[in-house]
Formats: sequence, C-alpha cells, structure tokens
Amino acid sequence: MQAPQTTVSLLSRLRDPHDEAAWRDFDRRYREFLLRFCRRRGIPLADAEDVVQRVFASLTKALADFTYDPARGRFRDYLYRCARNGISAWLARPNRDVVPLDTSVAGHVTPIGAGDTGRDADAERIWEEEWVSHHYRLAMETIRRTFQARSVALFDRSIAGATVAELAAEFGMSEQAVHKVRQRIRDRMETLIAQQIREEDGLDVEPVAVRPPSG
Amino acid sequence: MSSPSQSGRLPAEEPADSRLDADLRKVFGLGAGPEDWLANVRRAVAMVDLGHLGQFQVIREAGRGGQGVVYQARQPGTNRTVAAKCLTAGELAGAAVARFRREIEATAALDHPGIVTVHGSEVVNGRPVMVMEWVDGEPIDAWSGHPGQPLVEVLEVFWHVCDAVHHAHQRGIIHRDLKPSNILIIRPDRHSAVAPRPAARPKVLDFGVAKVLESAGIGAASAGGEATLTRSGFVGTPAYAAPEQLRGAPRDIDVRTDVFALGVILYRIVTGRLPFSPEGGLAALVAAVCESDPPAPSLVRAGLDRELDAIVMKAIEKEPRRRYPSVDALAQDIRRYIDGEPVSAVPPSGWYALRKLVRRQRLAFALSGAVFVLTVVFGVVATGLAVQYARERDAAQRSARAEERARRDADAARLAESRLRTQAQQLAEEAQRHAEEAEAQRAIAEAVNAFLNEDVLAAAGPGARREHRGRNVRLRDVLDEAARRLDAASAPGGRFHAMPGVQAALHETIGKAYLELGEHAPALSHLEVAYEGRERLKGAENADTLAVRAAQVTALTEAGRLDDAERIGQSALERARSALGSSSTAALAIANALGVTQRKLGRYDAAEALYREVLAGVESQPGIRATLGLHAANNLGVLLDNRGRYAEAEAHLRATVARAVELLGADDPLVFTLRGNLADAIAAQGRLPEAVSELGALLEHKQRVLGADHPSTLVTTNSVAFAMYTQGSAHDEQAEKLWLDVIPRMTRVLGEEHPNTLTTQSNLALLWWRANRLDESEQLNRRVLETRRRVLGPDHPDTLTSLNNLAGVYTKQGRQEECLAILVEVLGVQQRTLGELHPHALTTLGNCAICLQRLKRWNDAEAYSRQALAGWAAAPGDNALMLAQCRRQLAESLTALEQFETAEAELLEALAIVERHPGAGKARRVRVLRSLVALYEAWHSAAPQAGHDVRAAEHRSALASLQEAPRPPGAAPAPPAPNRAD
Repeated sequence: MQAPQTTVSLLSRLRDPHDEAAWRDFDRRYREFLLRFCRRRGIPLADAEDVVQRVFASLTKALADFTYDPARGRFRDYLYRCARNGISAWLARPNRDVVPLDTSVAGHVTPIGAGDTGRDADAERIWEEEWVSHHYRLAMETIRRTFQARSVALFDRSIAGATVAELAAEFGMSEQAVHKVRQRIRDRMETLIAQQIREEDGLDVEPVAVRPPSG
Repeated sequence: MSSPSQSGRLPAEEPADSRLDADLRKVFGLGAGPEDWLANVRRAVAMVDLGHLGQFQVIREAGRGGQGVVYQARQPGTNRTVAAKCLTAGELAGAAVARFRREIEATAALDHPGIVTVHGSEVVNGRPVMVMEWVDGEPIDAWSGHPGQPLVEVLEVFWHVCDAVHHAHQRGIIHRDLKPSNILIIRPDRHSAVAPRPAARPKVLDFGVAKVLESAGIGAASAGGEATLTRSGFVGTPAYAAPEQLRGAPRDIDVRTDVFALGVILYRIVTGRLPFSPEGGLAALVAAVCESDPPAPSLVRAGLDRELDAIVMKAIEKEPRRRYPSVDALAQDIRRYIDGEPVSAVPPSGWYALRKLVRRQRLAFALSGAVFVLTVVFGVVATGLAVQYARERDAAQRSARAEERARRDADAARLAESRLRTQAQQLAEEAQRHAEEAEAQRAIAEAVNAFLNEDVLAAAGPGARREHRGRNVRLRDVLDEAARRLDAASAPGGRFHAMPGVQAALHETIGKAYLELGEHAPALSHLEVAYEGRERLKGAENADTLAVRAAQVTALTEAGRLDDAERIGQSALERARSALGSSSTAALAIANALGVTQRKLGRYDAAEALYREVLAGVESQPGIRATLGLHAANNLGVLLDNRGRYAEAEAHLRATVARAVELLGADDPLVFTLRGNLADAIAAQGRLPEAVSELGALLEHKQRVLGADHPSTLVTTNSVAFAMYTQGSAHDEQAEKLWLDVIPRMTRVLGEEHPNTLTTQSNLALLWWRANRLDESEQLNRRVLETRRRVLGPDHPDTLTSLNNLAGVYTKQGRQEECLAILVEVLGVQQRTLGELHPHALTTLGNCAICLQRLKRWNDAEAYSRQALAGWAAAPGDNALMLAQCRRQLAESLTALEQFETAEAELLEALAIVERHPGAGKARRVRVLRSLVALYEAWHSAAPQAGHDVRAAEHRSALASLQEAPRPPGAAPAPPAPNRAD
C-alpha cells in the first residue's frame, strides 16, 4: 500500500517556515508547472516570473496554516484558483500602459476576469494539459533516477521520434525487446502518476487572494 | 488454459490501486492510441517557450535567487551568448528607469579580468534587465569544496577576487552583496596539455545590482523586503551581510562593508563553514552577525594556523574601523601570508574584547524583539529613511554627468580625460563631504537608526527604547527628522516618489511612533496620510488599511477626542467584521482600541464586552499575535479596577503578567505596563507597602531602560507618588517632590492637555488639600477642571473627579453650600454613567453626608450615610474600610440626633474593623476613637449618671497613646484614578 506519505509529509513540513528544504522541494515541483501555464496564458516571461513568485508568496502563507483534510477538494483545483488569482492581480496591476515588448506574445493576453468566479474553458483546458505535463515530468524524473541508463537512453531517443525499428538497430536488440522496454516505462509511469495524483489529492487548503503589486 | 484471466493477458505488474481510473487514463493519453502518451511525455519535457527578453532570445533559465532570475540568452546580430539577469525590482518607471540605466552604465565601465563584463541594460515591460557576459563557472564555495583543493590555490584565487573588488572600489563602486554565488570560478581544463596547468580564474558578478535594488526601494543589498517573498534566498544572503547593513545604517556602508563580506567568504572557503550559521532563522542570524564572535577558523578546520585566523577575524570585525581599511589591505595580507611573511592583522586586545562584551550585553536587550521587528528593519530601515546623504550624492552625480554629456558633445577627444577628472573630483568631493558630514550627521543618523531599530519598531508597547540618551538628541527631534526625510523622499525625484505603498508603510510606522510618544497631533496626521494612502491603494476593506484605523482610534482616544474615536472606531469595526470576519486580526485590534475609548467614555459594559470579544477571538485563533491578547487582557484588568472590582482585577492582572513574562520576557514594555496596573490594583485594596515597593522597583527599571522622560516612566512616577500619598501624610514631602518634578516633564513631553498630565496635577492638588494648603489646591483643581471640561466633556469621570476634589476644598474652606451643590451634581452624573454601586458614586454619597453634617442637616446626613453604607455593603470587593468610614459618619449624625445607643453600636463596629484591617492605618483609628470620645461626652451630658464619662476617658487615653493630635475632620475626595496605560 503506497500511502501518500511523500507529499503529505512535504505539505506538513511546509507548515514550518524554517524548513527551507521543504520549500525548495515544493518550488522544484511546482514552479515550472505554474510558469508554463502563465506563459501559455500569454503573460510575458518577466511578468510570468513575477506572477508565479506572487502565487508562491501567497501559498507560503496559506500552506503554513494548512490542515490535512482529503475530503475538501483537489489540490490542483485549488492551485488553479491561486494561479488565476495571480493572473487577475497581474492584469489589475498599475502601469498597465506599459507596452509589452515581449515580441513572441505580441501583446495577446486573454482577459480572464476578476477573481476565480468566472469560468474560462480555454484556461481550464490549458491548465489540464499543463497538469498532465507536470505529472509526466515528475514521473520522468523518477524514471531517470531508477531505470537503467540504457533504458533511459532508449526512451529519450523514442521521445525524440525514433521508430521502433530504428531503436532496435541502434541499440542492437530485437523490436520486441524495444517494445518491452517502452512498455515497462509506460507501466511504471502510470503507476507513478497514479501515486503522484493520490498524493496531490491528499492536500487541502483554502484558496488565498493574491494581491496586485503595490508601489 | 484453465481460466480466462490467465488466457486473456498477463497479470498486472502493479496492484490495482496503482492504476489510474478510466477518466484519468484518457486525460493522460494512456488509454487510446499507443503513441498518445509518448506525445504527452514529449510535450512535458519540451523546453518551455521562454520567448524574448527585449531583443534577446532566451535560451534557458540558468538560475534564480532573491535578486531575480538569470537567463542564458542570445543576442541577435552578434549571436553572442549572454546572461540576462531579470531583477526583482518591481516595475520601474520614469526617474527609476534612468537611475537604473545610470547604475548599470557605471558598472559597465569596469574593465577587469576578474569582473564579469556588463554589456548593458534593458528595461523590458518596466522590468530592469542586466545583460552581461555569459560565464560558465561554479560558485567559489562549491569550487573550494572539491576534495583535495589545495589551500594555497584557494588563497590565490581569493587574492584575485580581492584584486577585482579593489579595482571597482577605486572607481567608486561598492559591491554591497558579495557572496559565493556572485563569485564564479572558471575551472581550468584538467586535461589541458599545457604545463603548468592554467590556474582557476574568478569572475565577480553583479556589481551595482545591490545599489539598483536599493534605488528601486527593494531593500538592503542582500535581504531586501522582496526577499521575504522567497523562502529560498531569504536566509542565504544575510549570512554575508555586515552588521552595519543588517542594522540598517546605509550611511555606514563603504568599502569596509565589502571587506566584511570577503572575510565571511574567506572563512567559508578555508573552513567549509559559515562563521554565522543561518540555520536558526533570520533573527538569530542577525543577532549572531551583530553580536557574537565566531570560532576562529583554526578551531573549525584542523591544519589552519593562527595567522590566517587573524586575517579572517580582522576582516569580519563588527565595527568597520576595526577591519582592514580597504580590500587592498586585505589582499596584501593574503599575499604576505601566501609568501610566508608576517601579516598585519593582530588579534584584538583584551581591552577591546572587554568593551565588546559590555556592548553586547547592552545590545542583547535591544535585540530581544520579535522576528517581525527584524523583518521590518530589512524592509523599511535598510531601504533607508536616512536617504539624505544618498540623495545629495545622487544629485551631485547627476550634475556631474550632465556636465559630462555637454563636454562629450563639444569635444569627443577630451571626453576620456574630463570624465576621469570628473570622476576623480567627484570621488574626492564625496570623500570630503562624507568626512565633514559624517561627524555632524553621525549623532542624528545613529539616533534615527537606533530609534527605528529599537524604539519605533519595538513599539508593541509603550517602550520606545533610548540608546542615545545623553547625546542631546530628543526622541521627538529624531522622529521629526525622520518625518521630514520621509516627506523629502516622497517628493518628486525622491527615493520613494511614486511608491505609495512604501510611503504609507512609513507614515504608519512614524505615526505609531509618535503615538508611542504621546505626540497626538503628528501621530494623527501621519496616520491619516497612511490611511488615505492605504485606502487608495488597497481599498477601505483591506486588512492593512483597517489596521491603520485601529491605530487612529487609539490616537484619537489618547488625544481625548473620544467622540471622534468612537465614531471612527465603530464604523471601522463594522467594516472589518463584515469584510474580514469578526475574528480577523484587524477586527480584534479595532475592538481592543475601541474598548479603551468606551472605558474612557465611562461605558464600562460596552468596553468589557469588547475586551472579552478580543480575548475570545485571540484564544480561538492561535495564529493571531499573542500580544494583542495580552493588550486586551491588560485593558480588561484596568477596566475591572476602574469598576472597583479590585480583587478580580488583581487576580486577572497577575495571571496576565505571568503569561506576558513567559511570552515576551521580563523586560518587555508591555510587562512594565501590566506590572504598573497590577500595583495600582494592589494599592486600591489598601495593601500600600506592597504596592509602593512594586512600583518603586518598576520605576527604577523604567528609568534605567527607558529614561526619565519617557511617557511610560512618567506614568510610573505618578503612580509611585500616588501610592506614597495614599500611605499617609508622613510621605507627603516625598510625594510632593516627585509630583513637582514630574509635572513639568509631562507638560513638556505630553502637553498641557494630555489626560496623564491632568491626572498628575489633580493628584498634587489632592495632596495640597490634605495638607490644608487650600488656596494652592483650589487653584490647581480649578485649572485642571476647566481643561478637563473642555477636553473631556462635563460627564467624563475625570471631570467629575475634579469637581469632587474641588468640593473637598470648599468644605475645608467652610463653603458648605457650594460644596453640597457640586456634590449633588456629581452624584447625579456618577449614578447615571457609572451606576449606583460604583465606588466613585458611593464615595460621593459619603461626601454629601459630611457636607450635610457641616450644615447641621443631621437627618439628611443620616439618610445619605445609610444609603452609602448599604451601597458599600452591596458593592463587590473588599470594602471594609469604606464601611467603617460610613459607620463612623453615620454615628456622628446619630450622636447629634441623640440616638446614642445606635451610634455606639456603629462606632464599635467601625473600631473593630479599623483595628483588624491591615490596610487601615493610624489615621482611621484616630478618627473613630475621636468620634467615640465625642459620643460618650455627649451621652454623658445627656445622661450624667451612666458612666459614659469613664468610657470617654478610656478612649481619650487610647487616642493619646496613638500620639496623634486631633485634627478637624475633612471630606474624603473620591480616589482619583491613577494613570493607566492601555
């Protein structure tokens, strides 16, 4: 039985503001997820960093008081509300007349509405996609740590687009063996993701408001 | 093939609960096409689209810290790889952009192989970005930590670092944030064929960054306010900051600040450990950096010698003047050490160590504040109220640069020379100005910083601490100076211009500091500015905005503007309750402040309800500042005392003192306040010697810690004098001396109309009344009465006390009709506002009876005395002495009415009480005995044969043995309420 020990204890550790390692761990797990979401919501890089920073700041406060109650909703939905609050605060910030110079975005920012009352199917879709990616990334980290280097290399080539036939030739193994390696990684990934999600859903915190930057 | 499960497919490798459910399998692409999940993995691990930073194509994130994020980026055109550092400095606009560009230009002028080349700056979407040479190296501490790294090579590299920093210093640029992550070591290729192997080369990064962040109002070089947002980076950096940075003394920052940081880095790279460990949290770290001596490096790592110890320890001296005067001097010692020559560093002398010890003990007290205080020091102080110097220098630099530009236009060839000259001149001028200004400004700067660090910010209670006593700088002057600087910094071109958030925070801080000093007018005006700023920025329903409201209510209450305080307090309380909840910190803080207002308005029920609500709220939420609960508990204690529930007040205050000492330590100002109020409750119950000794100790403590003129010390001085007065006329001289001394101080420090000043004067008038100095007493009482009527209103309890005391004077002067008129008026108001059983109302009843006796209206006097007697019997608390007094007065009327037997019974009862009661005192027994003598004499005249003359003689001799000459009876004014700090 894999009880959701890791994350629950991580979140418990976050209650201790002096537990730097817990915060580093949390940062490592979630920053990229949030940053990617913000970027895909059309927020220029520097601002996205800022939004994520502010979401983290508010989480810092909220998680310090968190109590464990799995019955009260999923962490990813909570985190989504935080992210949306953060983006709303960013939209509401002063100095809006500054022209965005981030050319890759071309000034396109989808208005999300104030707070987390409104629904936005586009945002929700992107959030879910990034959530999926987030879990694949976490799982991939574990795979890299725990599988043989040769299997990881094979899988990396596979992600890069190499066909089974190419891989068989490259690694000097049968196509069936290639399939088997990939299948093992796939099964392991599913297990890992299932575990990660259970851990994640063991979290419970109240949503926090993210203040627009002042000054 | 025996069963379908075996024939269908292989059993699952994982238990069932390790699988995703059908919905999630779909979401993750694990259910459908065999390649879907692979596509998802591909997308997950793909590089995030970082886009552009201005003209630069971002390649990847290279690192992040408290100061910002560093990206590896590509410059179009040149295709050069650069590091783009996106500074966490908020969005810049206007003058701030220009300032940022100037700072970066200055650092771009540095040309040294040990300094990372700065290519320029960008402001992207309002955010400052610094573009510099891409360096692929590792931080110096990681490099030096590799196993087998020879010490001499580490020292060689460190020498190069010093050389680079010194180069910058010679060009007027101080780093201010040297730390291992800012010193990258480019490792030589270990497999290089070249012999000898090329040495490791250091590159120092981020010159000017600290300055930029400070200019942007972000905070100190290392641990700015922004850093509080990031958990990581928050603790890391202050470990390298010098004490003058941590204490928030921006004027004291010079090259020796970098010497300190280099010393810490040297300690770290030779021992592998930090001299001051950040593990205990920020407060502990700051205390350690400022106060404690780290173990010498040789004690931490074997194999190091005492000369290296001396170099390191000299570099990290607490006081800048004890350090190496320059980085060059440090570098020279390193060189001498490497070369085996004697080093210049010497261990501190015994005398110096002793001085440091003394200093440490003094500062230990100042550092006992809570962590949040220190956090504010970073956020506010280090940002610098003392910006004047920096502002002047900026102005000088601006004009110098304008001049420079003009010359550039005129003659490009002369540019280099003139620029050098300008810079040299500027540096010389700056040094000169610095030296001149240093001495003149040092006292005030130290006072400002000491004030902010130890006084303003420790303002949880009335304890603004004064480290700069005797330096001829008044606390008020210091605060005025801080306020003036804040105004200057808020004006266009000032450091805080266009930073309304910072301005509001500082106005709030300064307003609260004025409030702590009892300077109501400036407190109110600063708090009003803070409130307006907050309301504009964050709205009227924001917790921070409402927190200012709580302070405003307190300020208005202290200023005696009770109606305004109530009006604003009520509306703020309703707003806080509806917007944030009844148990939000803001609502509770406002409720507490409003409770004091209600108490001063004499609405004791309302006040008690508010305090109890605060206490319940604090108890239900451990997250709320415990001091708020202690304040409310104190206020409740004062209220109980005011209501005459002295024993209850005492028990409550005792418990609160114990809790406060446990939470805050014995030296906390709030503990002082609580002890003072506890002593008052003890005194109110007649245990005077106990109260006097407690108050005397408290006064001595406050004088030592806070100074004689501190508002809190002044309050205690009055309490001591009053307790002495209460002990009997034998202590009059001492008490009068104290009052005559403290009243002018109060008038000067608090103002003529301050309630505390008035109460103290009223107490002195009371003493004069008792000493039969009636003209003086009448004059002072009238003056106090007039002011109280004007400031507090006709129904205020203090105003009534004045009236009552004036009536006492009249009765001694024989003006009985006037006396009675006043007393009846007072009685009506007291019964209406305080309740019929309030000690003040009951005392007034007794006083009416005395006055009626003087008018020989014996039947009326008897009725009033009986009413008073019934009241004291029904009122809560130990009222035995008051009962004795009522019985005596009643007996006197009965004697006059020739009801001798009843009178005798009352007097014997009274005598029994005053002989038994520990707090009775001689005077009370004298009065009872005298009444008994008078009774038996009158009785004997009426019935000569009954032997009453014998009893009269007995009591007369008892009276004589008390050796107290009989004196005419006097009215007993209501006990004035000694000052309470809420």
